[in-house]
Amino acid sequence: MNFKEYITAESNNAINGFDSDLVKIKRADAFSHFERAGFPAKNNEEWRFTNITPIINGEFRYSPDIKISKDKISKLPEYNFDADILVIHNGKYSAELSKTNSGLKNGFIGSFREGLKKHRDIIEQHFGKYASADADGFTALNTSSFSDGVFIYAGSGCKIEKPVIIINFCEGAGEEVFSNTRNLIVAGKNCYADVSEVYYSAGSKSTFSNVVTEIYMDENSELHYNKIQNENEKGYHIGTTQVLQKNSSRLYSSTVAWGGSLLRNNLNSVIDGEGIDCYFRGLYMVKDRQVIDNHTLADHAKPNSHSNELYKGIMDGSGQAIFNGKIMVRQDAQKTNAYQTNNNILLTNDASVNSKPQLEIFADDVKCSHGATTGQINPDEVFYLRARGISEAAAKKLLLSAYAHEIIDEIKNEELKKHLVKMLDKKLG
Amino acid sequence: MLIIKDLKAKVEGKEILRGINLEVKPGEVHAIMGPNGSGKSTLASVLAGKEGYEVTGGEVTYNGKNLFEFESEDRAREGIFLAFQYPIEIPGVSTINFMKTAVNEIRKYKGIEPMKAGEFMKMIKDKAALVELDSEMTKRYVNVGFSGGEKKRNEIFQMAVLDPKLGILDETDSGLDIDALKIVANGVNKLKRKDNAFVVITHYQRLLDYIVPDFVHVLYNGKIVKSGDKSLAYQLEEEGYDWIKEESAVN
Repeated sequence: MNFKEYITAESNNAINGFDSDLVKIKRADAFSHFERAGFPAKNNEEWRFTNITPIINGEFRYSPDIKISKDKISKLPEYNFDADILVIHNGKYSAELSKTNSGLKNGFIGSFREGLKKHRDIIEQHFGKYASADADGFTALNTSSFSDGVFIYAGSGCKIEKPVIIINFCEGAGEEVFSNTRNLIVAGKNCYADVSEVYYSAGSKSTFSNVVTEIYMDENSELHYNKIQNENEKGYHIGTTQVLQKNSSRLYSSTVAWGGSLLRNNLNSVIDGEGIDCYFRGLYMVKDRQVIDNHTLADHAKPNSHSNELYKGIMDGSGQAIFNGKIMVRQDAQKTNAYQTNNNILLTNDASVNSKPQLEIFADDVKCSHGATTGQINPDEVFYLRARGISEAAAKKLLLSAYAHEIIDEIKNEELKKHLVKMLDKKLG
Repeated sequence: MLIIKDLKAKVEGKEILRGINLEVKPGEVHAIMGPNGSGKSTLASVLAGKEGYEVTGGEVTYNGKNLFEFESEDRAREGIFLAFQYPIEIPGVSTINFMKTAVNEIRKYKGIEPMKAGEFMKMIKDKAALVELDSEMTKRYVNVGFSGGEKKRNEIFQMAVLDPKLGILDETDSGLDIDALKIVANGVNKLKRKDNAFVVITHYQRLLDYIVPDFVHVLYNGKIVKSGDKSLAYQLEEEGYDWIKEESAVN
């Protein structure tokens, strides 16, 4: 039985089991989309450079309920942050390991299933509305098959002062794990939240994490959203984060992708209002035969908003990176300011990057720019450092570190930032 | 300290240095002057070990050792400092972090423990004051957004921090107004001791009003064609380089 046949055989078990007719209907609908569309084909333009054959040919299986030892999770640095910690294991929420103490009066931090019990109306209002199942086979699969995930709700004026950390941990008991995590973040008017998704995988068997996060940002809300990917060399990850932003909302998104065998991130924001700020920042580092693919879309639907994107990559070994950044400015979106920059450093002849900036502008009074660079470490800079007594290796490390810092330094969560700086130092050797 | 014998070097297949002879002893200041294209900057680059410069003949001994057996960074660790004609901008790296890395790499080479943070900060403050550099500047990214004068002053600051035995200043005066020139020259004068030496490469005589050289050499066509004391610099200022070119054509 191949992976798709397995999914079909298990579909009834997967789709049912949610206490909401609306959720059930959306899942059944999504599944029929998946059956029709299947996994993206090789000739699909959106997947041109990213070979997903290892996923399609994988033997990934829904994980039975296996307990995970606390030791494994508690030694992850993020688990010990001063934050609300939510633990997802193989796509299932672990109430036992999660630590949420915020006691929000006008909000909720917990599992999707628990959220459905307490805030059914809000979930039904937003679930499946932003990440469209008919746009993408993986999203359809996630919508129809997820078992659980995280629901974060900040009601009007609710400030979630403590950062929220979602730890996604995948490890099977002897089989290849298929994990679907579905998150929903609803930020009400004037509210504030700082949410990080952190990914790990362990064990000698492959894991496939198929994640969708939907985010709704109401007027004047502010969200800091980080995605940190530390999966091991057997980890596959396809993720979509779909955001809808209303007037004067501010999104600060940082993606740090430096683990896994194959990672694909779709990060899309529909800028559906005025006075909006949308920041996309990303750092990706590949080595060996890793593939990391970042697709982003800043979709300006209304006038007078601003988006700004900076993604930087370091490619080592035979690693491959893909960056596809699209700025869409729709006809109504006059006075849009939209900027995008993508920088790449190749450390070896075998490493590669496919960088594709796309601008689609249908309004006439806008300021938009994009630029992409690909090159090696600047030899003049290396010589300048060596001429001050710094070894060639140390000079290169210093320059790469400075290059990567520009992304990490923008992360608001200080504990996370410090940890990432340490990790970066290790990764640069 | 530094003995250059019949040094020849090529850049991109073209012979630029055609047999240079020069000896620099501790406590001395040498000025190397010459018209554009005479090989002044090539000499500086060859001494610092920049890639792309091929030494085709002659030898250079530094403190009794063959200089060319040392990598660029080891030359710096052995006490050679090149102040760049065009200092490089390094976004993301603060001058203070740059200097901390450099100081500790040099200490490691010499088998000394890394400098303690407090001691390092005090040194930075002292050296910045010595070369009249606002120490806030050291927190900024190396040379990013600096004016020409600020970049050159930052070179002298780095030289003060690393305290070399042999400082080579490659046209440090170019593009400086008179105030910046005085500050740079003052920095060098304060760093001057009996046990160190400076080679000042310059096109114009005016820097030598403030850094008084013990010897002046004229480089032309890849060779030192004339040496003398500081009066030679005044003569060049008065008469230009044409008479040098004519003399060397006759010889």
